Amino acid sequence: MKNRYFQKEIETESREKLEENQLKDLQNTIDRALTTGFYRKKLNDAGITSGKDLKKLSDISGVPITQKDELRSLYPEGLKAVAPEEIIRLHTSSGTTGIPTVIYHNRNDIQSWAELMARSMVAAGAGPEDVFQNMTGYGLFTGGLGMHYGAEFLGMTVIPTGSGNSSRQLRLMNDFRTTIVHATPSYLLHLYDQLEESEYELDDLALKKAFLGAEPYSESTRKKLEALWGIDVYNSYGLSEMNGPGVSFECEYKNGMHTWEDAFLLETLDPENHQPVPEGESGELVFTTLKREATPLLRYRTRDISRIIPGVCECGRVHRRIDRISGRTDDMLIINGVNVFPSQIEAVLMKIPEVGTNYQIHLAKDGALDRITVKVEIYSKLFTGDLGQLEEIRSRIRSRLHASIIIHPRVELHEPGSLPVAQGKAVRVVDERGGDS
Amino acid sequence: MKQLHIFLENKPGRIERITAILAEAEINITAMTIQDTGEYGLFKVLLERPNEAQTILSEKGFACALKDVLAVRVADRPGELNRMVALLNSKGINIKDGHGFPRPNNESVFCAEVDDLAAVERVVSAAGYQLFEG
Ligand SMILES: [Zn+2]
Repeated sequence: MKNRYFQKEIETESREKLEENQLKDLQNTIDRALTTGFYRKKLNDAGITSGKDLKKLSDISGVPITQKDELRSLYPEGLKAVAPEEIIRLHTSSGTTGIPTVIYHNRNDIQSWAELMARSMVAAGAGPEDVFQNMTGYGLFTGGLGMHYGAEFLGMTVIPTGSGNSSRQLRLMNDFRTTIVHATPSYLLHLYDQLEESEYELDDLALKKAFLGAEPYSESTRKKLEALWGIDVYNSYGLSEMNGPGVSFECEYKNGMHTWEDAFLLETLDPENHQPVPEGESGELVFTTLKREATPLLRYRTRDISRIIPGVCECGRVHRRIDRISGRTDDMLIINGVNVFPSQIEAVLMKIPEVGTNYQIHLAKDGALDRITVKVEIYSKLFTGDLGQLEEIRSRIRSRLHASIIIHPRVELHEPGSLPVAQGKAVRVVDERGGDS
Repeated sequence: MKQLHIFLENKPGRIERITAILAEAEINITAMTIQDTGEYGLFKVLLERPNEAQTILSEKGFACALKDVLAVRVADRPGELNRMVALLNSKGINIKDGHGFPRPNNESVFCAEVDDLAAVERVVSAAGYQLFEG
């Protein structure tokens, strides 16, 4: 594979050089944060009155954590570390669960975000010769404008279609030889169905790659999209408080997502006590912005669980990789003292072809102990008609769950279509243990 | 002989749901048995047009599979079932699950799930039994 870089020096510099710059930028960020009332109070309470109080990177542990609820409480004023006339854009989070958060950008912020996006897309093999069709919503959704600016900055030909209107999407893909699309996974699945019914043939299209955004998707969905369209799909990670997309992106080796550490100080912390977990172990991702001027954020809790993949990537980038998000701290279940994420159970079940994709996790008290029951549906097409097969499926699920997450669940087999269809994670978990657990 | 095995949770009304679907499709059930584990089980039916029945039930969302089973005609009188089972036993043939049902003219059909069905059918035919063809 021929490695391409957008900013080779930044992407492949030594770890020492990177950390030297991180410390400088961290000190500057602290100084900027100190100009806001919110952070001045927080930092002063922690004994920090200047960026220079941090002498080395590990001194970050003395900086207070920032919670999403704190940002919500600042809405709509938010955090402004620059003069109001310097601000050129704002984005708010969708606020589907209540009060949104607001992030402001000045001209430098928009520019450095575009750089991170361009760097990400080049890491995934994109170049100025590509034609990029942006099929997600523009507007407040950070993915639309974020990818658009990055693609333009990198020099691709951008077709800003926005979302929806499948027949026009297909027509433009065909007429302008689109090589890369950005879409939600569900839309790209839908578009494939539309393609089959359309006048266009997959073989006539020039599509090579897709970037997905806006909704979580499983590894099997990625594989499915790659197989259907005959393309490469690259995972990425971002959140609106860290601009949006462009925090972490897979390179062409598809072996974890490089986090742009010159722009974001990356920590993986124990969600309970906020202490760092050893590198390679799962923890909550916590980021500090290192470049953003208008709205600096210090040690922002993402509530996303992942791990730093140890070792260096074959692509030569020094920026460390994170694994696919394995869960949300909000979803974390504590079962007999062990932290378990529904997504970990889901990952095990997805590798058992004889059961369907719908499942339910049931928790109850059995004396002092928690009892977990995993309910799955038999997948009709692979059912052989033998009781022995059913028992074998049960014991395979039990032993795989035990091997991967050290729990001993009961496993219940159910008829296809009999478990409630999950709309969001809440339905998947039925916790009848009471509040005192 | 094809037998249809349907996966069922052990809860009220499930068997009726299946018999209602088959009744609506005007598929006659010749015989049936239930193999139950407590939480779930298999509803096993010998019926007319087994392929069609499987397609219909699959479309209605049931997990079901067609199994080839041994079905032998035996005389309906004392000792006959014992003679049949003794024959299988003497050849080391293991019966995984089985059932039977009476037919007109003092005849019964003995139905069993066995490994290597073709070989077992040769054994019973050689002993003078006739296979039940439905
Ligand atoms: Zn790489």
